[in-house]
Amino acid sequence: MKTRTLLLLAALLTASLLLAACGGGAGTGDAGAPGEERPFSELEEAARGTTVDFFVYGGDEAINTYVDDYVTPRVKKEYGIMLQRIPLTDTADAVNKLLNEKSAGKERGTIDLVWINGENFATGADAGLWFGPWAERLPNAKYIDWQSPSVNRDFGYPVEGREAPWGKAQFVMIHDSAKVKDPPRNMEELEEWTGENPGRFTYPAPPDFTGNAFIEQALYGVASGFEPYQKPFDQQVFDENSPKVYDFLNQIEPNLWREGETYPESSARLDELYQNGEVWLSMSYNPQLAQRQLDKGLFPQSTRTYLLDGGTLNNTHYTAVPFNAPNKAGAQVVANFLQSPEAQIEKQAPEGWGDLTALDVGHLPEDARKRLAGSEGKATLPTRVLQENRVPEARSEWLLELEDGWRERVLEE
Amino acid sequence: MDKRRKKTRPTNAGLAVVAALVALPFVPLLLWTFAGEWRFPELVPSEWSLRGVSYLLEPGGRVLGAALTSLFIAGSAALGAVVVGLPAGMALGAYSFRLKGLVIFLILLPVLVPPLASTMGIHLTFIRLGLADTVFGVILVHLVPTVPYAAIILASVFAERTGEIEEVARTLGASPWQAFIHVTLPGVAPGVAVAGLFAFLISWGQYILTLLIGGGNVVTLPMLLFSAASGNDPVITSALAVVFAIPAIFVLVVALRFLKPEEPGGARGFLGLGRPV
Amino acid sequence: MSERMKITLLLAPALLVIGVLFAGGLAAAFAQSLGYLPAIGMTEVNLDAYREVLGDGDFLDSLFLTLYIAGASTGISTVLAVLAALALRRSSGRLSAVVFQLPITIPHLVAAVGIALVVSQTGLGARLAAALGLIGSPGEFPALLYDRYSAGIILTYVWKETPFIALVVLASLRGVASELEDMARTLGAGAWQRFWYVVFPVISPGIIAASLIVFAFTFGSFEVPFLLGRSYPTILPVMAYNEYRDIDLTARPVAMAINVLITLITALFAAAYLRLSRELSRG
Repeated sequence: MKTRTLLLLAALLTASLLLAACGGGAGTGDAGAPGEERPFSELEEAARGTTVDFFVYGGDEAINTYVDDYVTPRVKKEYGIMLQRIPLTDTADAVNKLLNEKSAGKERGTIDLVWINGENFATGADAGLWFGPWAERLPNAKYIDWQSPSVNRDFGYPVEGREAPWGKAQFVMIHDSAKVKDPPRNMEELEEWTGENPGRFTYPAPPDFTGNAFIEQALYGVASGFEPYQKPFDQQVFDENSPKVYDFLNQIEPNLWREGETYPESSARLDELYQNGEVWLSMSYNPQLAQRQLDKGLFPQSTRTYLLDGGTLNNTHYTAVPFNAPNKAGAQVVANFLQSPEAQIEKQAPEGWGDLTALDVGHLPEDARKRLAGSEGKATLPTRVLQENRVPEARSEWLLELEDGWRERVLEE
Repeated sequence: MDKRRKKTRPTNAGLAVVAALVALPFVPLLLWTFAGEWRFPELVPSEWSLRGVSYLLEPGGRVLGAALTSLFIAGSAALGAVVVGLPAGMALGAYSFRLKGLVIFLILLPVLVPPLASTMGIHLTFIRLGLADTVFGVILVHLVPTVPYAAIILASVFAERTGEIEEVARTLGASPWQAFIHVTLPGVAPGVAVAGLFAFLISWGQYILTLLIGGGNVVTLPMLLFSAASGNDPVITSALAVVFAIPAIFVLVVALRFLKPEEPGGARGFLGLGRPV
Repeated sequence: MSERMKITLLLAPALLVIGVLFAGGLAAAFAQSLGYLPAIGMTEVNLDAYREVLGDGDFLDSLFLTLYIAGASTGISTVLAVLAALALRRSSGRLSAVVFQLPITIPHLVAAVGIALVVSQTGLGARLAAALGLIGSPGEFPALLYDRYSAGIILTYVWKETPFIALVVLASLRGVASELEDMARTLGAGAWQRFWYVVFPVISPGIIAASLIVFAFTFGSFEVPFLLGRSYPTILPVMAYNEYRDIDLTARPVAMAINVLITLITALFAAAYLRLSRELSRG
């Protein structure tokens, strides 16, 4: 009898917990939330002595070191802010977390600032997850070319001041010049090359960021360029063009590493294969990565980077402040520091992270301009070459469909 | 006499083989931890370095913080599991009652059914109650796999007690409560220690539960290890793995003092019931 | 205080914890699997998620893979455990106790990382093979990680679970089985006869019980395949997690449906195990 009462009690408690999960209104729709209205000096004041939780993709030790060993002590010294870097395995996890928090009505979250761009930003923006606008009011915004569509549109999605540019990326191919004298510069040549060198090439599985870039380049390569994908998503166009990509990728699959039975999970794994000499080509969104790894003794000395015919993808990456960030003032002060010329110079140094600057070189003072203009090293390409061979990213909607299709039509075949 | 000696040589050989297989994964872990440069196909690192070790010991570095967080969570979960599991174990081991089978089934469920499902289910509730992203919330979910284990171990401990000594104490005038404190508790102390140690181990090794409820804010050693293992630096990964394994080995050493060699794992006591931690 | 009351109070904390955190979580998962997610405006209860999951080729692939990994790991571990226990039953307690108990205490992730460093194409095994002149480049070493047979995953589970089963078997071997065996020997039975007709029947219930636990555990386990497995096909718990992480929250019921199905399957094993150990305790 008493045990039954006990079970009943437990059931009641469980039910009440369930209700706690269910109750409350739907937490979406934050339309018309005002952005930041305080002047920056007030933000600096408010931020002093506070902690900022910065959620950053944690898979690249060079980035971790830049944030931990350079940014953290500097913001402590100059603004009295305690910066905590929280590593993410995948930025989508942060978006998912914010979505959960929004549904649960959590007004005060745990993320102050997050490193983000592309699909993740777009999904978050659609769900009303980003605080803003605030980014165009930052003091260092004067160095940003907000008129440029590669800045004010994030993979085609309007930024509207809800994220602040942090750096730029450009897709480059990497090859071991000792083993590969004449690397393939377009998809046709790649098909030939993999036929002659089976098992020496592969690409990270989407939705890895670099893997996505590769299939996007393939799309541009086999389906006539980038223009159609700058426009809003069109199912017809997609149905016409995507089979060409999938057919191409399926065609080369048997000649890939492990005969395409599996793909490296991330660009870190692909780099590992390249380091071990198992594959002879690699790829990266960071034009300075090859030089950096070469200097560390991880990549062979004969490593060089090259571009694909017709130009390669370039994009801007940003920092954003969530709707429920507990320390919005601190987040903005940090975002502003990250955009400062000296932080950008430090970031671009190839011995460290080597990430390209987001600042518009034309808006900078003379000495900063000089230091940010060139990139040295035999395994890097001159900035001018990079800039002259750029193509824009497709809009996120196209990419999401492309990635899903890759899963179904290439991976699972 | 002779027959016994003849039997020990193959047994020793067998033991050596098993011991080698058990030790096998630790070999590359230890080598990589102290490696400077170790390219294929070298059998040992061509250069040694303390980079892995210094990463572990970085002052203000993440490893120390994560280790302390892990220790705190596992310790608290172990404590909680024992406090909750002790009375349950007593009820199961020392008494028989209607619905006992059902109760055992309910308590056993979280041992075999992955807590992943229930944790995903309760995640939204935790967010609502402000338990997500907190150490306390993580300790709570760690109770799910640890409490049943503690209860079951303690149930077998209580089942083996006959209550004779308590009876003697009672006839000598002790109250039931005094008998419990001064006779029962010291008697089950070794079992309690084992239950606590295994609860500690279960919590120590948790990854996905901490990831789900901790939301990235609660950083424990397994999170760092997993992150490193997904990267391409075997030195850091191995160093973290070694550090992560140390308390487990420590627990083994301590547990061995409580378990008699003839009854390895005390397995017989609870019918081989237990969980592959 | 009546005994009934006493028992209830003793059981209360544990049942509360399990009832609220575990059963409550499962109940919430079940509700969400039926499409009940008022927080994002989904209030209609339906079986869409189950229809989608059960009709999905991906789900079946995942189910088969999970069954395969659990089955192979359990099978291999059991066989090796019995052999090891038989071979080492006469060894002195201390060392064999350490040898068998060490893997039990080591966290799965450590075992996974260590074994990966042994069996990868640039791992210890490959380097040994190269030193012996068997292979020239890493590519020539068999692919045991991220491969279609999930070899690395199974090896990790075998390393971890064999000692556990071996301990259970050892316990029986050193108990009743030993006495019966001595009796059989004095009656003139040969080694094989003793094993097959005396020892094996006595230890088999324990073996089965331990195997059931190992199977249920590896079926629902997440960490090792998440680290060492391919992205496709993936095991059920990882599939549930991937659905859960989907930015599209309407995928949530699907994630929960998979969770419910995993729970049902492992609960079945839990019930089978309980049945068996009840019989054991009577026998």
